[in-house]
Parts: sequence; C-alpha cells; structure tokens
Amino acid sequence: MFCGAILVLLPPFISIYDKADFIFGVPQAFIVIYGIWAFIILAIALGARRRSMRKTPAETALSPISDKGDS
Amino acid sequence: MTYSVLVAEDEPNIVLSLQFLMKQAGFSVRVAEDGDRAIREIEQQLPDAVLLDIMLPKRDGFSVCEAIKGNPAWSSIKVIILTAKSREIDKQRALGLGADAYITKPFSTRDLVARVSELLQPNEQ
Amino acid sequence: MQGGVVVGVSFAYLGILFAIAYYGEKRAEQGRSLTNNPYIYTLSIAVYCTSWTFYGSVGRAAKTGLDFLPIYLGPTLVFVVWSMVLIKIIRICKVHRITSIADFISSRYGKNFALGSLVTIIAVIGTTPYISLQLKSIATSFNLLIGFQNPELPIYGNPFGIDTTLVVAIALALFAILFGTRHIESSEHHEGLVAAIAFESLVKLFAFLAVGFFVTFGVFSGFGDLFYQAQAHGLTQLYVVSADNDYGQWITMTLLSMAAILFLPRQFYMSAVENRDETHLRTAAWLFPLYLLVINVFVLPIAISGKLAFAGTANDADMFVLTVPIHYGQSELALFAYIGGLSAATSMVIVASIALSTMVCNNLVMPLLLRWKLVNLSESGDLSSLLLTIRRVSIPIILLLGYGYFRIASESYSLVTIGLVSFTAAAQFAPAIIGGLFWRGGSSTGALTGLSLGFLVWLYTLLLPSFAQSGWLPLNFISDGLFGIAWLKPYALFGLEGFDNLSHALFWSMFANIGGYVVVSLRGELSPIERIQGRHFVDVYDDTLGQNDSRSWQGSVTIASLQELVGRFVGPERAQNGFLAYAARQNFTLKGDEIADSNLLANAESMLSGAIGSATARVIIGSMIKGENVSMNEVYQLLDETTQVIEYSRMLEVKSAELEETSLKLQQANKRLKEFDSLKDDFLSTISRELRTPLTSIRAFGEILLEGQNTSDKERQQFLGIITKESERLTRLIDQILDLAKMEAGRMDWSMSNVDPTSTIEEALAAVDGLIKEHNIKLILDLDKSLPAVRADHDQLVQVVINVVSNAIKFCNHPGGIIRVSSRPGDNGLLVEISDNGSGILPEHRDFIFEKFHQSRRGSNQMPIGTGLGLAICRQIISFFEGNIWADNGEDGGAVISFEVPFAR
Repeated sequence: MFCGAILVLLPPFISIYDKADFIFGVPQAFIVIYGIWAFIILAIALGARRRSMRKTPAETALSPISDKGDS
Repeated sequence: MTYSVLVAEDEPNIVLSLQFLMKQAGFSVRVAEDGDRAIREIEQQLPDAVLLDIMLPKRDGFSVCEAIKGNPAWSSIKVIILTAKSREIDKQRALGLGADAYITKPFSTRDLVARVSELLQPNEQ
Repeated sequence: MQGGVVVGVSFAYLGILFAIAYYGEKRAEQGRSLTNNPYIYTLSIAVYCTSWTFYGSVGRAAKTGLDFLPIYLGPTLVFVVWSMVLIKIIRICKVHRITSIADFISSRYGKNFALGSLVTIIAVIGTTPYISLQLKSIATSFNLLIGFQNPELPIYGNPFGIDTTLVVAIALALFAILFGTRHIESSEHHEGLVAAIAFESLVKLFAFLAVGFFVTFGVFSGFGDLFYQAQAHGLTQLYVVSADNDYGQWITMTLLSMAAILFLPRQFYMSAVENRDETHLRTAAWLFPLYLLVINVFVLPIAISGKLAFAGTANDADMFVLTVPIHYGQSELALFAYIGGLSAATSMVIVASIALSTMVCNNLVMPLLLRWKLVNLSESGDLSSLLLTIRRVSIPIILLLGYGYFRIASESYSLVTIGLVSFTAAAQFAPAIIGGLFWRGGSSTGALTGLSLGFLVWLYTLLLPSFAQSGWLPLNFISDGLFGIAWLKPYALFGLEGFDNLSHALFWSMFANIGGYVVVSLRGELSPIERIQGRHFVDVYDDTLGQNDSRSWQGSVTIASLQELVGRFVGPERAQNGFLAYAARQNFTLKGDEIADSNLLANAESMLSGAIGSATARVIIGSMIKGENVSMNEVYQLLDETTQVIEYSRMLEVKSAELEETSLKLQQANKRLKEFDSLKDDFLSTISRELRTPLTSIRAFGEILLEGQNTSDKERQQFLGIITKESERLTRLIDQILDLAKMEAGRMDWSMSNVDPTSTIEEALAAVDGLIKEHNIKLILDLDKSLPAVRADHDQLVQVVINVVSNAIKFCNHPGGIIRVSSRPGDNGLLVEISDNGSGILPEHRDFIFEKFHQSRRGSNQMPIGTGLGLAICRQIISFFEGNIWADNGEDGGAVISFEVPFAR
C-alpha cells in the first residue's frame, strides 16, 4: 500500500498524468492528484477499521512492577 | 532370516507402538524399560539392532550406546537413537559415540521402519 | 480598515482561546475530559497547518503551480504506515513518560544528557526560521488589513510607532507563558492547550474554506469557469507540478514533509506526548489526511483568482488569501481570513514554544544546573517554581530568536522557502529515531555523531546562505565558497551541482547524518544502559520486559525523603497523592521512615520523568542513592549477554579498590546469572521433551491407524484410547506450563478474597471423586469445620487440593489405597495434611518434588500420567498466599504433603 502510493505519486509515474489537459473542465493533474489522495485516505480508513489494535496498557503512570510470584 | 530388535524405552505407550511397528515389519522384538535392563538383554542374546531412547532410567542412552560400540563383540549391533532431545549438540554426541542413526520424536512411522530395514538389509534396498 | 478594530478583534480572539483553554482544564480537573476523543486529537495534530499553509501555499501555487502539494501528500503517506511507526512512538512515550522529542532520543540512547541537549539545540535553532515565518505572516497580514489603501506603508513602522512584528512576538510569548507554564504536570497532558489548538484548527479551516468558496462560487461560477478563464489568460503553467519534467524538488519536499509530520518538535509533542489514547490514532490516521485535503482544495483557485485580479501589479502572492477578498470589497471576509491566518500562526507558535521550552528546561538547563551543583538537592525548597521560571524565561528567548531571524533573513525569502529550511532541520532527527525504533545496535555516540554532522551540514548549506543572501554575511560566500574554495560552495558542496538548494542540502545532510550514525554505532560497544534502553524501545510491545530499567535502583533512601524530593519538583500535594495511589495499588502502608524499595524508587523516577524528562530524573534519583546503582537486577537484565557481562566485571576488577565491592557483587551476580541461564536452557529442553513424548505416541498410533492394514478391531480400540489419553495429557501439560509461566512472571490475575477452608476442600474432593472411586480408594476425612476464613484465591486453592490429592491417588497402594485429608489450625493459619499409604518419598527426593518436571517414575499404565508440574504449581500458589507447602513421610511410611495458609485478618 505504502509502496504503491509512493510509486504513483513520484516520478516517473507522475509525469504520465502531470499535464495541463482538461478533464471535466478541470486540469488533469489537479484532478488526478487529488483523486489519488482521496483514494489513499479511503484505503487508510478501511484499513484502520479492520485492524485490531494492540491493547493499550493501562495508564502506566505509576503502575507497579510486581515481583510477586517468585518464591 | 528374522532380524531381532531390542526396544529400550521407558514410556509404555511408545513401547507399544514400536513393538507393533517392528513386528509388522517382520522383526522379532524384545523390550527393556531402563538402561541396565537393556545391557542385560544384550548380554543374554545379541540383537541385530537397538532402538535406544536417551532419557532412560538408571543408565542413560548415551552410556548404553558407548557400551555397545565400545565392545568389539557387540559393535556390529546397529544403534538407532530415538529421542525427544532435538538439539544439534545431542545429535553430534550420539553420532560421535558411534550411533548409526539419530531420529527425533515425534517420528514418522514409515521413515522409522524404512530406516531400520535399510540398516539391517543394506543389499536389498 | 481601522487599526483599532483589527487589534480589538485580534485580542478578542486570543481571549476566546484562553477561555477555551481554561474551560478545558476545569473539565479535566472534574474528570470530564474534553480532549479525550479522536476528533479533538485529530484537530490538535492539525497544528501542522500553519500560516505557511494558510498564506504560503497560495503564494507558492501562484508562482509554480501544483508543487505546493507534497507538503501534504508526505504526511498522508506517513499515515499509511501509522500502525508501524507512529503507534510505536506513542506507546514508547506512554511507557517511558517521554516529555519531548529530545527526551525521546536521549532516553532511547541510554538517557544520555549530551544527546538530549544536542537535540534541544538543533530543535531550537531549526524551529527559529519557522517561528519567524509565523511572525512575518501575522505582521504582514495585520499591516495589509489596516493599510491596504495605503500601499506605501512600510512593513516595519506602523500605527504604534514600533515594529508590529516585535509586538506580535511579545504578545505571543505572554500568551504561551500563560498557556503552557501555569504549573508543572507530572503527567504532561495539557488538556486546555489541546482544546484551544483544536479550536484554532477549526477556525483556520473554516476561514480558508470561506475565502475559497467566495472566490470559486462568488467571483467565478464554479471550478470550470475559473480554470477556463485562467487558461484564457495563459496561466496553464499553474496546472501542473512541473512543466519541464523536473521532479527533484517534488521528491525532496515529499521526503521532508514525511519527516516533518513525525519529527517537528511541536508535531511530535502534539501527536505523541499529548496523545491520550492509542486508539485515537485509528481515526486520526484517515481524518487528518482528509483535513489536509479539504484545506488544500481551494489553494489553486485562490492563487488563480489572485493572479487574475492583480495581473500586472507586483502584489505579494503570499497574501492573496487576504488581498483577494479586499479587492472584491469583502472586508468582513478579509477580517475572517485574517483571524484564520492568526489562528494558524498562533497555534504553531504556542505549541512550538511550549514544546521547546520544555526541552530547554528538562534536557538542557536542569541537567546543567544539577551537574554544576547549582541546585542543591539535599537542601529543601520548592523546585517546581524553578522549573516554571526556566520555562517562562525560555519562551520569550525562543520567540526573540524567531524575531531575530525575521529581521535578518525573512525579507528575502517566501514563506514556503523559510518553512522548508525548518523541515530540513527536523529531518535530522529521522535517522536517530527511526534507527532507534527498529535497530537495537544504535549507540549514543553514533546518534551524537550523526546528529552533529547532519546539523552542521544543514547550518552550512541552508542557514548560513540565508544569512548571506540578506547581507549579513558576504555574498561571495555563496558564489565562491568559504575562503574562496570552490568545493566549499554551500549550494554546490564538493562540486555537487545540478540540484536545487533544498535537495542538495537534504542529500548532504542525510548522507553525513545516516553515515555517521551507522558507522559509529557499528564500530562502538554498547554500554549496559544503552543496551537495556535499546531493548525497551525496539521491543516495546514485548510485555515480558519490565516497564522501566530503573527497577535496578537499590538504595537506602527513606520513603519520606524520597517523597519530599519528588514533591519539590511536582509539588508536595501531587507527590503525596502519587505515593498514596502507588501504596494503595501495591497494598501496603507507607511508613515514612522505612527504606524505599526498588519499585518505589522506579515509580518516583517515573513521576519525575513526567515533569523533568527521563535523563534528568535518572540523574536526580541516581544522585540520591549514589554509588549503589550497579545492582544485581541490572545485571540480570542482560541474561543473554553473559560474556559481555564477564568482560564488564573484568574491567571493573582492574579499577582498583574502590570498585572491589561492586565487582565482587558483579561476580556473584555473574555466577547466579550462569546458573540461571543453564536453568532456563534446561527448562526449555525439558518442556520440549515433555511435549514431544505424548506427541510421539499420538503421531505413531495415528499413522498406524491411518495405514490401516493388519490392525484388529481390538487393537484399533486400544490405540484410539491411547491417542485420546495422550492428547488429554498434552492439553493438561500446556495449560499447566502456561499457568506456571504466568505465576512466575507475576502476571497471574489473582482474585483474592476471604475463603472458607472446609467448603473449598470439599469442592476439590468432589472434583476428584470420580478418580477416587475408579481406583477403589478409601478416603478418610478429618475436617475441622469451625475454622475461620483464609485469605486466598478460591479457584487456585481448589487447584492446590486437587493437585495434591491427585498426586496421592497416584502414589498410594494399588489396590487397597487409603488417602486421608485433614484440616486444623496450625502454627501459621490453616493447616491441611494429605497423606497416602504408598511407599513414601525417598529422603533424597524430598527437596525436589516441588521442582518443575520432577517426576517419580512409576510405570503403572492405568494411572493418569502426571505432567511433573502439579506440585510446582501448588508451591507457586501457596507462596503467593504467603503460606508454606512441604512433604514428609507419615508414621505408616506413606507420603504426607502439608500446606499452611494464613487466616484472613
């Protein structure tokens, strides 16, 4: 995912769509870059929803380090 | 001729499975539950091969192997070490004492039978 | 517009911010946190969008088109891998109570003081241009708004008769002091600050969108019209990133912004230190990039409209957001845009100056004061006010530095160029942090070398030339190189030409930085503390590591004086609350004159870390118990690195008499370490063997059954029975290994309560009733039913009785077994004896039967096969209950296993 995003946003890929031609009355580079951007955000959102987070440790502020249990 | 195999192993269920497999392969089988018994069984009658566990009560498998391979009269007995000790250092030690094969538990029954047959009947393979 | 109105609105806005911060803090004190949710968190990270975004992006877009975008695409890319990098940093900050990026790096490399101060210095100098950028934008926008009709009004010089920028700097300094240094927090969460910053993020977003909507749909009739008209005016070069296929700067800026979102001091502070809950990141990971996208949609339209409106006149494109509404007569909108720009700039300045002042105080000034003994820890006196003073003094200094840079260099540079100079400085932290997160081998000298080299190259190739260009250094420094040496030209170092200045600087600084870090790290040896910290950071998810290396503290400090020490930094009340809370959790009573144990010392260090940073906290605790910090525990932590410890102790031996005692301790520790190591090894191979034995039978019989031939029905039945039994044995074994491991690691969840002994014993006996009947064993009960309750975990106590009785079933006579269970009051509480009529325990075994995997072999086939762990578990449980378990032989020669558990108080 990360590599794919880097690949499409950096040269040489970028020079493919980095043109001043118009699509739907809007410059091509403008719409493609924002489109890719929106797509990446969508992918992150979907990915984040699926991922089960590692459990957060309870506030470790002053948590005791128990040495009990060793006899 | 029928080859004879001595099973030196203290875990009853494993003994049972080995007994079954060896009989099925056409060998005659004797059993020793500890190291001392194994030596006594060999003294009584030479087997063709010994399936030898290492962690045996009273006298461990290394020592039994050493006794067999160190005795010119016995050294023709094939020793197959059959053990749960999987570390390389144990394997090297056993092979250094002259063991003919080193098989770790859990073993594949097919491989075990093939290995024993191969050691006993080298020309037929 | 009237200057008075603008000043009034500005201060009213700052007043609102202050009110929000105050409200946020009040809510936090009442325990109803305002900021503990993912949306506020996301908005607070949006401090990333400063006046650079608000004004500078438009300026950049008006000149070079779409290439303002990498600054926002870079962070988006970083959030693609949030779960790998960011979450790890956050976890580490929480576990180690990190207060800043300097604290993070210094803590990672062995709580190294020099490293912490170097990072602080780089951060301060590197942030200076960035702060100057904000000051510049506020001053320019202010002057524009009040003097638009009066274009000859100079940028300095203004209605107050003094420099507007200086006034702004002073006002912001006061504001930051009021905001961030009201009191010392031992938790380092500033709820009020976070709430205010989140609010600012909303304001700047709406202000920018308002201007964008006005331009796109008010001035023009939508995107299509706007782009069409621009094309008609020949502005199509703005529609692309690069017209000549040169993407060098695009790549550089993407890389820089990726580093910046993680390592800019204020960014690190907001996203890692102020993070309340790791799960918030899950939302922020997509919501923050979305924020960036939304705030950037109208950049190009505003730039284009500015170009069209001011075609032919020399109007500063950096201010289009303001000048375009004014041009179209929308003075209210312009005022709103000004407030948006103000919010963007103030949020950056406030957070950056607070983050930097914390670093200056914790990682630079306090360690120096302590080192030079200017602060005497043994005297009494409130030190928290000293901490606050240091921070309050450093904030104006930081802002004045920014102002100075503004006076020196800002005039000749655009907003974006200034910002990128700062980004490149922040990127210098990347190797030390990323390396430190994933590579244990990084050393403090390596990090020091890399950071210093990278920083020097940055100074030489970016900062100094910016001075030269504004005339503070001779200009031929750039054109001819230092001392006229051509290969020292700052924009073409060593003859490297053909890159833009930024890519050139990034390349050389990273080359020197990464090179220095890796090479020096690989060549040097790690000290024990570097190794420990390396493990704690790289393996932060590994729960088996302790949370803090300082478990190793051992000293003779009384609890009262320790509490007093902590109190002087965080305030006596907070210190007392912290200590009481700790005592409550640990279930003991604080007695002031007792010696603080290592856990309490570690907790005190942790409390101090939150207030003054880990390196300083360590120095303070260390100085209190000086000379005793090479403890056994520290050595134990190096379990797997025995040989290095031996060398270490040998080195210490050489170091004469004063260290003799220490080295003796070390040698003992070493010996125990070796025993420990071989024990661990034996234990693992024993576990492996114990698991393999049942597996062997299962597999062998399974394969025999699978082959199918030559097995009778009776044999099949027998073999299946064996497989079942061995599987059960395997399950039992695994359960018990896990239980035992948990107990030994102290991670068992005990639910202690008052437990009635009689009913517990009866419950356990009911569970083994089947087994007893199966073997025709006679059970004799002799239970004292009037016994008081004991303090225990009920389920675990049942387990103990079951394990011991099962053991007795195995070893009593067969047939004709008799087991006797009795309970009565003993010397130390409840005494339970379980005896059998078997052949007893051999005296030489008596000491070992409670060891793991001790098994008395006994080849009786109908017996459930023991795991060799049952009694070991019993011992763990009983000793947790603070009781005793032991074995004897009875009068009739059978075995007697007895245990005692204290009665509940």
